Amino acid sequence: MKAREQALQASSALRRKKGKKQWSLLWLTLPFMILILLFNYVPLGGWILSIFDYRAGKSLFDCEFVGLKYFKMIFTDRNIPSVLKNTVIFSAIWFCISWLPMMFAVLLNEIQCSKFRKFTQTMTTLPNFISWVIIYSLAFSIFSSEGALNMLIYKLGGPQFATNILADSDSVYVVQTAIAQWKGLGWASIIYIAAISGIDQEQYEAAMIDGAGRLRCAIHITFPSILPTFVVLMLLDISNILNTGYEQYFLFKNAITAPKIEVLDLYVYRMGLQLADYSYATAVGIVKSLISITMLFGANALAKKIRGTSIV
Amino acid sequence: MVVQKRTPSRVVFNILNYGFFALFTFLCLYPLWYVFCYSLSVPELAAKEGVSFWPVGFTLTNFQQVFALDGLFHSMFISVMRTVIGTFCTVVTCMWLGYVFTKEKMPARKFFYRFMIITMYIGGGMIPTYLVFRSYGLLNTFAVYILPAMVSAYYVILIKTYVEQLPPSLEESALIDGAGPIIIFTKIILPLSMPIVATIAIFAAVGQWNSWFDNHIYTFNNKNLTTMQYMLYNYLNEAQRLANELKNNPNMQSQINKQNALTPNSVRMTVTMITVLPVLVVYPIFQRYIVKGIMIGAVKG
Amino acid sequence: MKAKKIISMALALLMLLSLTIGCQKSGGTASTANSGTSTGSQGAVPSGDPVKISIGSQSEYQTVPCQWYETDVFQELQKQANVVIDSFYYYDADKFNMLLAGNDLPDIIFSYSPQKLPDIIDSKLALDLKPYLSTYTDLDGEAYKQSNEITSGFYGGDEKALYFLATYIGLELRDGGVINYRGYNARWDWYKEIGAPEIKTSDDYIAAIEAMVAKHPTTADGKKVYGTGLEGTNFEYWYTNGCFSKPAYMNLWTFGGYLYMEGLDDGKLYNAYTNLERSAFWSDMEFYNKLWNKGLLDPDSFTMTAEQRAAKSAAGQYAVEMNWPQGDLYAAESAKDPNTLAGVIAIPSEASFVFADYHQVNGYFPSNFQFVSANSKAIDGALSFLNVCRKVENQRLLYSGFEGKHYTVVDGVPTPTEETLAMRLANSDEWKKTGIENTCNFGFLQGSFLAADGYPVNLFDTDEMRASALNPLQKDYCEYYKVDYPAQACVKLADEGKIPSMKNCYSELNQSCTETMPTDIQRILTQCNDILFAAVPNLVQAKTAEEFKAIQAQVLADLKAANEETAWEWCLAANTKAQEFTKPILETLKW
Repeated sequence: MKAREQALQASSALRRKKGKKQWSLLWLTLPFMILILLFNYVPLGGWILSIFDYRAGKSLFDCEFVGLKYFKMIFTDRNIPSVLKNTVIFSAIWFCISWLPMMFAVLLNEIQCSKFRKFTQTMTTLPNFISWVIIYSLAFSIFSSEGALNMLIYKLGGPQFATNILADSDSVYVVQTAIAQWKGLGWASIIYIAAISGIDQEQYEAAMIDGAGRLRCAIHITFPSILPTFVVLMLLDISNILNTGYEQYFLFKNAITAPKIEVLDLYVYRMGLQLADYSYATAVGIVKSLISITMLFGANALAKKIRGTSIV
Repeated sequence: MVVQKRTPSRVVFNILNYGFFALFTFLCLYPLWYVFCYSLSVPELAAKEGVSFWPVGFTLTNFQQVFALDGLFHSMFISVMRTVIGTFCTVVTCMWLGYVFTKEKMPARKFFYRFMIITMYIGGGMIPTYLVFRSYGLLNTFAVYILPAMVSAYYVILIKTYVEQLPPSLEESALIDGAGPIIIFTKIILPLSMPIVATIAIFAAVGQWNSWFDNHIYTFNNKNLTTMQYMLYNYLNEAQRLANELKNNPNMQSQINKQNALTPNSVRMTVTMITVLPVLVVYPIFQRYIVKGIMIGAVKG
Repeated sequence: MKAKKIISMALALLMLLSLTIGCQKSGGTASTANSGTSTGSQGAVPSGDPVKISIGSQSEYQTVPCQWYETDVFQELQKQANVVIDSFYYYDADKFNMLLAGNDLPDIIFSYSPQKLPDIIDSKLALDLKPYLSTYTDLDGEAYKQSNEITSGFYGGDEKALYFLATYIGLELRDGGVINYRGYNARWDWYKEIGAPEIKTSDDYIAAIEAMVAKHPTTADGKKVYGTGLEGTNFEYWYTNGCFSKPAYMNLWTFGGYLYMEGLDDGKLYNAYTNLERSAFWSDMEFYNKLWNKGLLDPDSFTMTAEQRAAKSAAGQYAVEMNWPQGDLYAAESAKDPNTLAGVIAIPSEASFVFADYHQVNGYFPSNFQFVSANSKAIDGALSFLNVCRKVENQRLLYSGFEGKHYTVVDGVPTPTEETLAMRLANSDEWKKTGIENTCNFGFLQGSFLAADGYPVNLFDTDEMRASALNPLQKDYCEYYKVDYPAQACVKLADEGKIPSMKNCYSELNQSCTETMPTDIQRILTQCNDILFAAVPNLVQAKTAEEFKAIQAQVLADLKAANEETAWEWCLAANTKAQEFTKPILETLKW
């Protein structure tokens, strides 16, 4: 008798814990899911182009069926290993410095003069709006053999054409990353600034009363509050390992930097799209998507193991 | 901001911190200043001598020629419209989704969340997307600027992360009072999430303001839907084409008059300024909300 | 899981459906079009209100001070054809492909994409003009018969339909134009200063460059002067110069951006990737290597864009220009001093050819062509407009303006008026509003084509006109070489048989009769170009001949590994076939 009562109590407690599902939430969300379906999933039918020799203008059924030819081409292309290497190196460097925007926001938060803080915050987002074309021409006017930097070195007594950063193949990874950081750091830190503003001020007050200094406040209050954002963005970064975009690399590419600067997106752009070879570009897109999704869920599972909860 | 004790280590830290930000701000500000000066400079002089800290040969003709473009003001109107409407729709949609995905009670939550996240990594390709939009009848309509951008997985993820940080006690007390999800969303979540709302709003607004590719591909048949960005993009291309033509055709008598043609670099700088200035004007408004942390304690009371 | 499978299959089906709907064949419309006449028109000009037509182009046209179709000349053409161009679109390659995929093309399309020709033919996206030729007789006028035959023969599908209209048919650069476009150029004032030495070999040229730079090591502003600088980001510029100088002498345009080129003198196809004796690329690499080792090549050449190079040129930092004389220096200097001699111009040299007398039998086809969309709702308007443009009198209108207004007939010789000449020189907004000489790819004939009155359609291009419209630099050059206009100095050498001109080159014609290159071959060649491009800095900066040879050997090995031989076989076969076909045509050439 007692056992049965206990069992009944346990199961009803469990039911209360799990709670009834709120179906109204689903109905209110479904329209947007349909929107996603229509705009993001339906075009995936275009993946079928990768198994045909698609020529724009021809009906799909008139195009030659080639099966896995383009997929095989990706894996047998002599240039793919070096292109992949470049892509992964850029992504890895980017991943290693992905904490910079967070640091930026935290340090910015420590600026007490609010006018200076606001001014700085606005100004540092500006490079985000300058197009890569202008950035390239600016970089040229600063770093070229007759650019501002060399002129300065010469004036300070150094040799005449000391540096040629844009034509230096060894420093490509560092230079490109530095330029990209300069462009994106301010903008990327906005989300962390917003996260910091959402922290309850009472926590700081309580900590101060307990005698905590600024540094301890930062470590124990600020960082933990913005850490979830950072972890999520880091996870997205991992999944984006092959997606670097091509605009920046297209502009800075020249005969000398080419071996190191050619990333996958740029290579596919030249091989695929410039030859109007949509089948090839589609095949590469499919492979990239599959790799990204795998990395996403793989990293998620790893995070679950470590932290106990999954991120997505 | 809580008042700090003035310790020596604090002073040193302050000097370094301020110093770093001052330097970085200069590094960020100078290039835009360069663009600004270049756009106010006489094109040939700027091309020849280069711009350092001040315009060379002050002139407003670069801007005059842009504003003399036929249809520019209508395109500005369209750009503003799409920015305002698009941002509003995107923010409301993403905030709602970001909130809903935090509710464990939602059925199939994990499935739909992943359903949405995967969209960040997949794409059908330009031609299939074009054909699909075409079959929906979206070509040459204003809706094509708004609808596809409404749900952005990236924004939803950021919002969800933010909302999860809000203290659950607020929601629970509202639930006990019998409030439905929409009420909770509008009366409690939204007001507390002003920083993230402002952030997403600025992201979405900048995205809408800067986009021209959808105009190029989907709405170019309808002149009434031309956005300012696209107009400026075409204007820049015209200058580049002209410069190329003069380069490749040295026989043209107009070689002598090449100096009268706007160099593409000047056009590029001018176009950048026209695009960036409105953002600079609007951004401080958003900034107030981003850094304005509402005293949660006050709301609690 | 099962649900997911069903959903994904449904999605695929939905997509397939929309793709097929999207690229529906226009077979239906083609059959009604074969009836020969379209609704509402009697004869070549539609009656009633002007028909609205839309035009699309892969080339950008004038938009300032007015749209190209609002200029006087084009307004007149529209009036004659009773049409109104109510929309004009410019497309880049991606947009063009999208429009082809969706069959959303405007009425008349101008295209730069020879690669798309087979697709357009197979999907019948272009209108077959043959049934309409009886009504629109000027489409197949006397001047165009041969071109139409060639175009419909090779690019007309099985029915040998006439889908495409070639543009710019005729003799290009008759007697060299005003100035010679290619070859060895130099800055005139400096070149004269060192005594205008004869240039019989590329080593003479290098010696001349060295002498010029020695006299002017820095500019007035203190910037360093180099022999020359190149636009480094574009691979083509690294071998273009070799095309037009000994020992290579190859036709740059044989296979577009790929290095299989016909010789300028003998018309044989050479493999510039691997044939070390005769290769535009390798001879240029040796040339630039020599320049580099003498410190005459600007190090920024590897990284500069065209604009940056132009800026340096305008600052006076280069003694010579590669590939063709560019006007940046002259434009900058003449603004300061109208009588300056500081400008780059081609020097008559026995080591470089002269770009003159290029017979465009089939115009610039297959690189440039016009066609009418098969789905067009305004076929009568489109054809009427094209018909009107094809008339030789209207070609005269396009190039020279209105008779009586812009040119008058004086003693039987049509001569442009003083006013017109001044307007043209000034290149003012007024001139641009007339639209003269801005043919916008509706120039179906070259300017040298003789109209009914025995004079060229482009009256600004007669010998007298050329001699009269020279700037002070060109006048000085002419005085020095005792010619009427600069190109003559170089053409003289060709007439004496010392150097080739384009007289024996029929590359464009051969291209007209060559199959479109398959994508696989294109891919191989793009990779080959990449290999060469990556080697350029090393080759140019090689310090010794051994180093150069070692890098060269490596490049050749890489090319082999990239299957360059496969591409060569295909191209050689295609080119041979084309030349066999064009041989009889060349024997009947009138000019």
